[in-house]
Amino acid sequence: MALNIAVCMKVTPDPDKYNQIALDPVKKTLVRSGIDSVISGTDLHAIELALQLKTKFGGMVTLISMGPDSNEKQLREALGYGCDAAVLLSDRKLGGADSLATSYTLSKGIEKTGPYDLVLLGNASDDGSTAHVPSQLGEWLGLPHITDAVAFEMPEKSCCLVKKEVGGAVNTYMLCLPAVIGVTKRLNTVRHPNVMAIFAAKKKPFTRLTAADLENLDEGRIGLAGSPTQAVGYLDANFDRDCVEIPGENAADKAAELLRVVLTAKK
Amino acid sequence: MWYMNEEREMLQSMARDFAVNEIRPFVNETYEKSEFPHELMRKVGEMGIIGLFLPEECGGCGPRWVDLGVCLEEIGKESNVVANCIDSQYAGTSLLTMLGNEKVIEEVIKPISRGEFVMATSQCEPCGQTMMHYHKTHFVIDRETNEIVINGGKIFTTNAGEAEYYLVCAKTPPEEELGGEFGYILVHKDNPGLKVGHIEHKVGWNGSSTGQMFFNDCRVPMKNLLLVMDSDEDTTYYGGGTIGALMAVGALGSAEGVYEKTLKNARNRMHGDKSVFDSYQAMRHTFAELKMDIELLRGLVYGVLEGLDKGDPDAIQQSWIAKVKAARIFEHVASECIVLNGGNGVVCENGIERYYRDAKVNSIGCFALPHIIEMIANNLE
Repeated sequence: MALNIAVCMKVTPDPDKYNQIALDPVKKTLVRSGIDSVISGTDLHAIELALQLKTKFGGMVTLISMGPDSNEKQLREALGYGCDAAVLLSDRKLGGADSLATSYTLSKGIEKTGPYDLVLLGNASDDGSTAHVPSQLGEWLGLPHITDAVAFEMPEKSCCLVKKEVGGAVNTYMLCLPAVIGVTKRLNTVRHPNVMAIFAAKKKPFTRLTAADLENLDEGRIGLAGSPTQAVGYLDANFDRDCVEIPGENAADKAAELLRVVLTAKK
Repeated sequence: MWYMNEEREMLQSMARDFAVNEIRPFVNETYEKSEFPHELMRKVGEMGIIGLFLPEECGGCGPRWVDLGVCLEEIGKESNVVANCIDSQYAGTSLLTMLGNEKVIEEVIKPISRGEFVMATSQCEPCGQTMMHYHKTHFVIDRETNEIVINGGKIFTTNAGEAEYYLVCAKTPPEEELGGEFGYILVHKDNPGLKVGHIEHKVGWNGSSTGQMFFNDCRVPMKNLLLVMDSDEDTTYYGGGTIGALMAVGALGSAEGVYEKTLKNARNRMHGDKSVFDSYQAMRHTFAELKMDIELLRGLVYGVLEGLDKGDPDAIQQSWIAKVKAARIFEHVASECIVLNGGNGVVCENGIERYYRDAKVNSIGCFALPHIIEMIANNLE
């Protein structure tokens, strides 16, 4: 009955330091030097779901991340939540990947280290936030996939019920396993890491794979060369602030007025 | 920092995340209401932080003093109360752990390590915590029922009314010749004859319950008499003095917490076209002085914690030295930070003055500074 679960994990700049991130005017990329890196917040919810399923059904949770060698630190941190193993896809050839090249590379890593009953990941990363990767990953792997999961149930091991928000409604889908699920932050509450798991993290299996280790890899689909998306320009956001008094008799009235002001300003 | 490594960075990150997300959003409100942090203690247990001072056979992975210090420092940044609540569990369990009583380990220590409940050590009496020869609380042995019967009262019991178990210190009956003058007895909160008295309204440490305990023919099984000690010196040093270092690292964290908040406020508050930080050299120099105090304290505290990890016998004495210095530096930093925040420093909702109030109580909690200094003086060579 044990489940073999993969969680794809992205390392992003610390959202608390976003105000310190600069943009390279030529490359149109983020200048991340000096900015702390953290596990993308949505991926933590995928990790939480994986650990809950492991508790219920038994099995193993493997983390898979693509990025520089320095990602080992965040992968070890994720092992501190109770995951069992980590795989880092790290190679200069993989650099500069957009979401399509990233999902392709991750699919090759999953094929190499699998098979898995479930592939879980955050619906959208905290930085790029394209929300492309879950669907692309499902297509590369030829597996049923769903995004924007706000609730997840697994009455039995062979299938799962996933609630997905669509507009103002919530649809429920049944997916046969294996499947790829892109989760949202609404899905669950992330636990804290555990001291014992942190001490164990150092001894847990950690595999580093290069492009050469991935089987049947089409080098035209990885890294910058495999990335059809290119940033061609950007706009600086204006963060000027004015003080505005929000009138109202009580907190509820003020909240309603604040909402009106925000919605009006957006338009 | 010289004491950090990969594991400790992860512990620090875990504790910081907990402190910022679980303590910070609610701390001003719970402080105002003097709410005991039961839910936070449950989470601290689940995360394994309590287990850092408990040995493996008691459900922990310790003692690992520097590792624990890294966690307490982060928690202390947001709440000196929660840091000291964790310390209070060390004070209680350290004696129980030494005894190695299987039943106590299973029924008391392991649930504490998991954060299921807290315990209290009930020792202080009106004549003072350490003047134990003058204590009035005493017990007799009822041979017919094989029970001990406690009578008397205690004051300033930390976690009074919130604890599941109380470790009560009482004088032994001389005629029983138990081999010592004082006994430590474990009493469950629901035990008949045990009554929680007035809970004190303190200047600080709001939420950490401090109160009176009364024992009126409080009968407990003989097996609950866990330890008999001969002199107050032994009991004065319960916890092996390590509690001093733990309180010191919590105070270090709190000093940093109020310093960091104040520095951020000074940089964000504009006076004309410059921040107040950039406007006043006197202010910048004060920040520099406070930073020097904090880093000096860090060196002392982590040096002592590392000494404890290595089993250095000098570290016990140094632990008390760290407690004194940390209490003073914490109070000084908190006091200066109120001034550096200007009017905002004295507004309770801003969460600055809270640190100063906690610093005052921190100077008293687990032995007032004059008593510790007396102990240090008595050990001078």
